[in-house]
Amino acid sequence: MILQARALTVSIGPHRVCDGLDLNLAAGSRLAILGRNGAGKSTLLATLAGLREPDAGDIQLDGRTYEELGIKAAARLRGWLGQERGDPFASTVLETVLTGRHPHLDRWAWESANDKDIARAALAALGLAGMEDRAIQTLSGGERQRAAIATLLAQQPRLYLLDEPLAHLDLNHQITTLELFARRAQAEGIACVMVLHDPNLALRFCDRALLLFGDGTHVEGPVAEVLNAAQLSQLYGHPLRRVENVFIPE
Amino acid sequence: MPTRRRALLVLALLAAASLASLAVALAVGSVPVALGDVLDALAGADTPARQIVVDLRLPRALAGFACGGLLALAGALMQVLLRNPLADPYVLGISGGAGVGALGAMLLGLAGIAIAGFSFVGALAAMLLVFGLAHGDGSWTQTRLLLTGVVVAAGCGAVVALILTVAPEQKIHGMLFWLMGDLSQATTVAPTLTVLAITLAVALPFARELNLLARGAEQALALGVAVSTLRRLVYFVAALATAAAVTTAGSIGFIGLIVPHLVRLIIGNDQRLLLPAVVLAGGSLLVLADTLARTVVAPTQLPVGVLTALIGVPVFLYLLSRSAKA
Repeated sequence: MILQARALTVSIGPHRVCDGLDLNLAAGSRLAILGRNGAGKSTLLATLAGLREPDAGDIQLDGRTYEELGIKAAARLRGWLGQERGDPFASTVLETVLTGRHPHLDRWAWESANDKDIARAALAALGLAGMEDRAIQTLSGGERQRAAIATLLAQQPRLYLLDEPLAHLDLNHQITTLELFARRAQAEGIACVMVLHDPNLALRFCDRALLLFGDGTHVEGPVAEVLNAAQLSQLYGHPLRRVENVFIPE
Repeated sequence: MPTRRRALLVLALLAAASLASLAVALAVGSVPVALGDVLDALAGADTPARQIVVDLRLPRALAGFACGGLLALAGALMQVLLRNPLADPYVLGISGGAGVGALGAMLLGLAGIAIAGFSFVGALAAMLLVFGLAHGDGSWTQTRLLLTGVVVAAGCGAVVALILTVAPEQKIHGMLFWLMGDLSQATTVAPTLTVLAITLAVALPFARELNLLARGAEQALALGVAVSTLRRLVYFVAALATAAAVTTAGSIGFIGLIVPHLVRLIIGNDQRLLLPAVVLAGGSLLVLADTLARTVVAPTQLPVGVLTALIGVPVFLYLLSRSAKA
């Protein structure tokens, strides 16, 4: 198991995000987290990333807790894509993506030609080839989002924790990004947990789903079982109906 | 993206510039000394220029270099710590605390080393006060640290104003010089140079981690940086550097804000190169500014802080407008 959570209880302020959550994520698996705004999706994801402490329960990466791994070894195992994009100081796209190599470098080491090749390949995978020398602040919101995902690819973790990976992305890049992770999950044995807002994309690109109802209750299981009209209507507080024969992007 | 080789080249050039600035500082003054005589005097030859060069100008030039380097280093670190390009070494109230100490000592009629001692104690008190208040509940954010520091600085400013108001007329001049920054009282340079070497040596191994911290604490943590330890380390290194500089020469302005930006505009924001580069650049700039301060309207000496601002501001604005066009 790449990611294992046992009896995980997470809350933020007075708000209970989940209570006694059990997760088992094997290589190749992709888990979608769905829920309303403020349900605690990002908080749970940051907890799974070891960036904040759970109230109770424990989390293991590859059979070891974050404490046992240490901060730097954990960074070689799991990558986390946050929602915030702020660079107060100027830097190029390549420099930004190379920050992903940090956990693989010794204290005094500088990025090698190999590290730069990895960073360039990551940029190319996100359709940003040729933008290496652009200032990161001149990129559009969607391009910055893709540069952040490229940074994550350069980190080469085995577990990807993606907080709204599709934010700012156009339709084309939403699909290609999800395809990229689906392909890598199968080919390279990585696992993904992603916060999504579109149950259709979760159904299509993920094999498991976790619904956070916002009152501390949750449902987790294979997408075919979990994502049905009744549960999603309850989840979003808005009636949903399943239809066939609609246009979807290929 | 600097490579290690390019970084070494840049640092070698800056080191040469530092030596040149020191040579100018030793040669220029009310009694000009030829460069050959400067070298002879430094080598220990018993020439007439020896006393001027070795006893008078050398300590002052070295003190200037150390203070400039310390302030620029502290400024660069504060800008990363607060993730704010407007941060400078004084933003968190450390110079305010030193000011209260120094002016208090002058008010009490103390002189020389006592003023330095009082100002160092004041700086340390402000540093611990800000850290304690900002760190109070264990969660310290940049905003909370910045606000605490700014408020403590404002409080110190009020005390300084109060001291200036009640101080007797003949002491006001010395107080104002201290507040504007002045190297003429700097005689013991070994402690300041030592602090410069220590702070740089402590900060440098963490340079790549600082690159990540500048981009955001959570992302840095996810990439394997022990953020809370690093923040504390950076805070205390920057605070100690500031305290040492203001203790030696009063609160010299603009070096700590402008030198990191100047250097960043030219060589980029990789802290592995930036930190040693700002030390050399800040040191050279302050040595040159101080040389000007004691020569332009000689025999009257200007407070060097006025000169650093008068040089720094136009150079900075020029570089900023140039980089905006590029």
